[in-house]
Amino acid sequence: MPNEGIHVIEAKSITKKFKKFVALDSVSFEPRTGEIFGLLGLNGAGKTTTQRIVSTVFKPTSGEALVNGFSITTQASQVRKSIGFVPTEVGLYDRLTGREVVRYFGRLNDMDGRDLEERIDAVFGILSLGEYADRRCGELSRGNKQKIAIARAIVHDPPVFLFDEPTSGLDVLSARSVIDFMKKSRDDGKTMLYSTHVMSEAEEICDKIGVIHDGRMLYTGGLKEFIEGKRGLEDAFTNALRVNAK
Amino acid sequence: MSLKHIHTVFRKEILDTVRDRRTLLASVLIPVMLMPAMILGIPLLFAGTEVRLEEQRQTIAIINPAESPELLDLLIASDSLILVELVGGPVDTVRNGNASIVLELDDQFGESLSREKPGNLTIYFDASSRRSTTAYSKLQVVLGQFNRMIINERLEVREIDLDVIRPLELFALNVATEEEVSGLVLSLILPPILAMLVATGGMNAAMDMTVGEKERHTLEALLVTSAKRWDLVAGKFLAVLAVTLLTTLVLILSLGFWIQGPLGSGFGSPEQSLSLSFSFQTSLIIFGVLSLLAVMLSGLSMAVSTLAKSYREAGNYVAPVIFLVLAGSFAAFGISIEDASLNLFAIPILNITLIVEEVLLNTLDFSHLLLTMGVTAVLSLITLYFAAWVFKREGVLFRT
Ligand SMILES: Nc1ncnc2c1ncn2[C@@H]1O[C@H](COP(=O)(O)OP(=O)(O)O)[C@@H](O)[C@H]1O
Ligand SMILES: [Mg+2]
Repeated sequence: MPNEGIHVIEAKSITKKFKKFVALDSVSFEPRTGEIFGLLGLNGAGKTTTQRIVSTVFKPTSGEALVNGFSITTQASQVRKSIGFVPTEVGLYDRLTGREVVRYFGRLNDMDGRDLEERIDAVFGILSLGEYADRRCGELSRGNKQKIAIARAIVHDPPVFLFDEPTSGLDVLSARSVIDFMKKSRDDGKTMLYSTHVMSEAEEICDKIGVIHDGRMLYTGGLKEFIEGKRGLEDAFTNALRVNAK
Repeated sequence: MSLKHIHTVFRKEILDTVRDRRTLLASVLIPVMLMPAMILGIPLLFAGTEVRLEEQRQTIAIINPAESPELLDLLIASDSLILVELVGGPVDTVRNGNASIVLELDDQFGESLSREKPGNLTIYFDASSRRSTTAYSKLQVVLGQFNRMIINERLEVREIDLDVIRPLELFALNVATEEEVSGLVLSLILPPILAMLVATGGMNAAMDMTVGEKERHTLEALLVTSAKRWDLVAGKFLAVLAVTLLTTLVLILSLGFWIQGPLGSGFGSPEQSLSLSFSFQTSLIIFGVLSLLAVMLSGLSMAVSTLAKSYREAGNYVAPVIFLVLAGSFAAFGISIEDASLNLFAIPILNITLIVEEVLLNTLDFSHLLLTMGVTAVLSLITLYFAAWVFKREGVLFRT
């Protein structure tokens, strides 16, 4: 069974070029099963590009990654079944209700019938979306849209979540419920690749982190080790960038 | 390929399109319902002014009326023109509209006639004025009568039978049935309109389902589902096709409605009015032919709008498609359908326009139809593969 490996995501020397521009330069990281792995970096560091490669949206120029034991280059469709991807930009179909959107994605992920409806109810329950389920997405608040986007991504109950800045643009309460949801998912054994530039959130929930800057990984490893001797994650992060600049 | 995924995508896109009622109504159904009325109504409007001009009496001024009292009597008796006074010169009178037409009798007009010499007449008219040209043709009728009257008199004096100078008696019989004439009229005006409306019918939907997914940031989530790209494209294509076919159906129904109902009669010249007809069988065949066009254009508009990164850009890309359709269907104007050779039916769009003409003229040739279907099917497949290929290109899907 491929998903019994310790490292449910293994990214090995991923390089991504857009024409001549090197967006990712030999990036490697390996979160363990049941961990939240924080991908920390400034705007333009390469977080989204990394997420898109792991989620098979982009092909790497070189390098390889295994997700749940499947290769992103040769087993893309098995990889897609194994992930729940929430991109930064929440786009929903404004004229469909939340339930219709999630049902659509459930069907495209090979679910159907009673199983699907029960799963939708369950996911909406976890995300406390119940009363908004049957409203058109165009009428929802930013926070509830984000929750629908999460529900849409995880409706097929994948073992790996890829969340790209899931709290950006959200108010405190909505951001809090997303963070709480991630903690709860970790308790359920999910592995998460979570990119952010909000250091306080990362400090609260990450087990491991990767610090990415200009497409290069400056640090990968435990969060605790990274902030040892510093005043916190933000301090450690700015320090790492400063050392790199020298 | 997964039929289940294709079906899922198709159903979602149809639901999404149907819920976008305002766009569907404003940009598809209402134009399709009204367009035939407008196109068919314009010739009717012209026919109307023609009749009115014919019924009205235009003004005429005569120089030297005393030269021929008989001609004057004839003019008054004909009751088609009103005599008015000449104001200033004849040219100014016509140009200023003081009279629609001026007739000048030569100083020696009366005398010439009595000496059996030709009497000189000059007619001043304004070729740029409908009123003046109508008056001109009415005057010619009166002058024709006058001419015959004089010939009669002169022959009578010489005791010669009138038939001596009338060697020909002409009878023209139109062998076309009213349906055939109706078919000719329709075959001239309909094909370009039909092609145009079929081209634009599904375009909104095509853009919404492709570049719309980019612009609203829904594409990325869609690409990471288990559905294959080809299935996404196929489902979307079928949905665009359904919208286009719906448009086409409404178009045919509305044509039938306008032609059988309010706008069917009153075509042709005032003397020989013509009513248009559009049989159920004709509509059915035309719908079939236009469906082919719909398949091809749905694929094409999907493919080109996938290339765009915003609605605005997509608008620029579909404009040439519309232009091509127009060019192809207007090219048919230059071709006499009786002489159309087989190889013309290898030219896309033009072939469908010609087929529609043949159907309307009831001269459909099956080798023409087969070639048209073949060419259209091949092109449809190419556009679909193109759309699917575009959907796999990350550089196209995530252009910045
Ligand atoms: N599709 C693309 N084409 C060209 N350049 C890109 C593309 N996507 C991202 N980039 C570039 O790659 C770099 C990393 O971008 P990104 O991964 O989005 O950063 P982040 O998500 O960390 O803000 C940026 O300089 C960005 O401009
Ligand atoms: Mg980003």
